[in-house]
Amino acid sequence: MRRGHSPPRERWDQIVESQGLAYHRTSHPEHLARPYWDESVHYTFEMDEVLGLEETVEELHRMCLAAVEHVVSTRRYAVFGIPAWVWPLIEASWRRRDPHLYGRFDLWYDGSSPAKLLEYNADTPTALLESSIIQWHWVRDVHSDDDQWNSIHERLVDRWKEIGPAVLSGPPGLPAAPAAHFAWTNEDETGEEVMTIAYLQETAEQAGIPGIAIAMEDIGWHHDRERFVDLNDRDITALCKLYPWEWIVCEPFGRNVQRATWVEPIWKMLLSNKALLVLLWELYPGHPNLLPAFLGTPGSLTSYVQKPLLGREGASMRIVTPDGVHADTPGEYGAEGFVFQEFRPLPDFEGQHPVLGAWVVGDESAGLGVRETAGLITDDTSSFVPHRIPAEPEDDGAGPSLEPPDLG
Amino acid sequence: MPPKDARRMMRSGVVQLSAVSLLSLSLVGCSSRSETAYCVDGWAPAGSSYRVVPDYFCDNGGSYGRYYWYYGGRYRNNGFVSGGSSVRPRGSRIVSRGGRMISRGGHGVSRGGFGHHGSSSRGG
Repeated sequence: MRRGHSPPRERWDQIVESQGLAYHRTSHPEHLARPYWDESVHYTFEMDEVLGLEETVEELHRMCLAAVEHVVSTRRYAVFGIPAWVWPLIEASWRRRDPHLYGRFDLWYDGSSPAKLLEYNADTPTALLESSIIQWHWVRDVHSDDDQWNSIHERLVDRWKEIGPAVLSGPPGLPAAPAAHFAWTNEDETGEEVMTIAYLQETAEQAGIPGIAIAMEDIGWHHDRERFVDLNDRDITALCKLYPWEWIVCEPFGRNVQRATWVEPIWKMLLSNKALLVLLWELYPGHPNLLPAFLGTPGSLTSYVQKPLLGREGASMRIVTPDGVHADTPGEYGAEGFVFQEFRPLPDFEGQHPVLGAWVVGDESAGLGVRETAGLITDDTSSFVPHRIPAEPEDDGAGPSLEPPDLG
Repeated sequence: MPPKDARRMMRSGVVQLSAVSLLSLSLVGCSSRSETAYCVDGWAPAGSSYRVVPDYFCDNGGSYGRYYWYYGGRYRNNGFVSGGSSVRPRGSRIVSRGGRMISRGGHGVSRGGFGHHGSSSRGG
């Protein structure tokens, strides 16, 4: 793994906007000199590395599914802060094997040590367009001989073909739907979520599943039919959403969720929760791709990251080492409790800290997206950078710094 | 486990999008500010302005369509709004003047039971 440079394409901003990245300015804080999509920089990986990471990702995914089975069998939902009325819905969804589409693992990786799981975004992962579409065009335009760990688009279309019939058939006892609905929230101010769900809808349509776009706020509940309905009062039987389950179950219509089939399914709540990290360490202690993690206490850890069970984008996090507190991000998360994970400083490549976003579509590894921050926590100031797998061995680019990290 | 074929192509062969490209370009072009919706009395226009009434008047589609949602425009301190449209804009964020959801009426359907969770990000 190395960090390299190449000149951005002329009118790169117009190019990425025409490919789906309408939000690259609106979603990025204005005061930052560096753009959100930064193609002046990229990472290079060797094929052996990628194949090794692929195996790691698929193993982690299998471990996660085993963790879900464990929670459902032992009914240990309380650890996740999930309301009790939701537990039977999760169990039923898991036992039916309600189909799942995708997720993104965030991994620590420096090119030599085994990759470490930082967290799993299994319900509403973002950076999808960047990983699947935008960087695909970049490598074809700028490094056309090279490969890229990215078959996300094809795999999404294939996965929709596999799960489409089950998704459209809806819950048992109710008629099948001719189309699936795709929902975002009107509170999306940057356009990132509108574009991401539009992309998911297009992958479904390429798989032969018609789609209807709708805002979550516009979804209606028909009292006589006891179904969700859209703005034309058509039944909503199959719903693909970019909206977290944690919010749905706290909202008035949450009580009716079993009257539709959902992507992602509700059993994914057990994977989109940081308590998963604690459970994995409990089930697979010492595993080379896991960091020790504990619930409600740092335990024996002296260097740890304190993360809220249900936080997003690096909010409400704290990093503590024997030298003191090194980061304390603002936020209002934490009411459900905290997870304490061993602190492993992100590797330093030319002063930037990359996190690998490894995509899983269905149960298989599908591709990689890399984000970088100048700081220690990947938050909304991070930039997305493309990557390539050189066709021929290269010596260029910078490896990780061997200096101990400046924790500031 | 035997190593996979190292010459295997890791990236998608074909990637072609149409709707996403069009939507992206239109979003870049238009403003991302939110639109306010006002419940107005369609039977009491003053020139091209309409009298704004409380949101709940629009809950059932109004009595014989008298009260309806009016989007955008400028609200004046005299309680009238003008310069907008009764056609619901697509792709915008719509908030009623009372700060709540827009119910489309229709018999026996409730709306707004999802959403309004605040401005934190939905993605992770």
